[in-house]
Amino acid sequence: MSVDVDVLRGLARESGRLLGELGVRPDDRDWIAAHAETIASLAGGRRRPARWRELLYRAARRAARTAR
Amino acid sequence: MQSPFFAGGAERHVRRLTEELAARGVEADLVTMPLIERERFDLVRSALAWRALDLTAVGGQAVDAVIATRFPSYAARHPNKVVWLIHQYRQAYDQFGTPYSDFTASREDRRAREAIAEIDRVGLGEARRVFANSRTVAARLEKHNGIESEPLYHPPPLAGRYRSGPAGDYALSVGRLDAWKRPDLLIAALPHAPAARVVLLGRGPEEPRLRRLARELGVGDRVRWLTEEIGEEALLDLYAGARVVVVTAEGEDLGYVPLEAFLSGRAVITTEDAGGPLEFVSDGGTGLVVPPRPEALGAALRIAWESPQALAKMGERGRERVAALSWDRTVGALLHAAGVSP
Repeated sequence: MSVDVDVLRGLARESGRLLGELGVRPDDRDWIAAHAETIASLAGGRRRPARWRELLYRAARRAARTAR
Repeated sequence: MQSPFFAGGAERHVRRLTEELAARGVEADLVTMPLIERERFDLVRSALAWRALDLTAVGGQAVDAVIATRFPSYAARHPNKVVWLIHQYRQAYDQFGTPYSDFTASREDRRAREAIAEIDRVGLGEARRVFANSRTVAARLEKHNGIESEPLYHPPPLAGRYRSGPAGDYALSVGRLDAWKRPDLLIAALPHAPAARVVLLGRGPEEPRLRRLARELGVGDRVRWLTEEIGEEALLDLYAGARVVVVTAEGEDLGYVPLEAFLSGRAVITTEDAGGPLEFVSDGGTGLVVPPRPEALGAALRIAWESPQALAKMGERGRERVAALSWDRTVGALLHAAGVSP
């Protein structure tokens, strides 16, 4: 696992927490997936494998849950 | 919050507020982000962008206070946040279920409306004080969110420069040619007021339909279209030379037009469902308030043409009604609420 994905996972956690604060719920799966995709896009032109998106999705979703 | 390539009343309003703060010795700057809604999640995403913005300090310098005005800019974080609400995301609230909202009963739309309410609860709830730019906006906030706010009025953009002149032969309507502004109501009123002529200042998507309507009703020769940008002086002249000013919009937040009309000594004709304008326009006092129907508006226009003296008195009373509006008072209230001294 690269440092990059750890940074992105931290961002997913932090922004997922904020999303939860703003009313997003863990079952808003499409929104959280769209958000995870946005964060994954910060990896720039590099490949963003599906497992990254899944990782970020889970991090954001977990954070959104704990924020509520 | 702003929309790229578009400078409407709200954009001009926050720029003016920034200038008025600076004019009173406050080091003030404007922070904007576009709200681009391609999908519902963009509304939440935009709120998130503001939420991620901690404005407590910028460049190592403490920021004493933040004044937020629109959804979702009040989601920004600052320990000393004051909100002066121009309007909420109305499609999710009072406009829901009307032709002016495209929110449906789908799960995503329902969740988006719930999220908007939560964003409002959080962003407005943590503000040190919430003002609204009119009683109408304050009442909506109380009704839909249970949040109390205080109406705080301000003068229209060209305050200090409006002037009166001899009453002309036209009723003036100022505003975008959008469906909710209902300029069609004014055109449809003309067959009921044979002497009345109208100047429509504004542009918008409704223009072709309105021109067609005017032709079909046989009143095309009594409507003057001003769809290009005109300068400030030309606008002042239009107000000064009008016989009466007509506001047909439904559910305005505040509406500058009645204020501009009154500062030009002109009476205002508006409708019972106008919203904000009714905080200044009283039937028989500073203007005429009629049901939103062409024949009722036509009857009011007939009065304007048949009783110019009564109308002039209404215009004078309107001027007195808004004379006290000043940026000194408005900025003073905002700074006091924020605990900031210039």
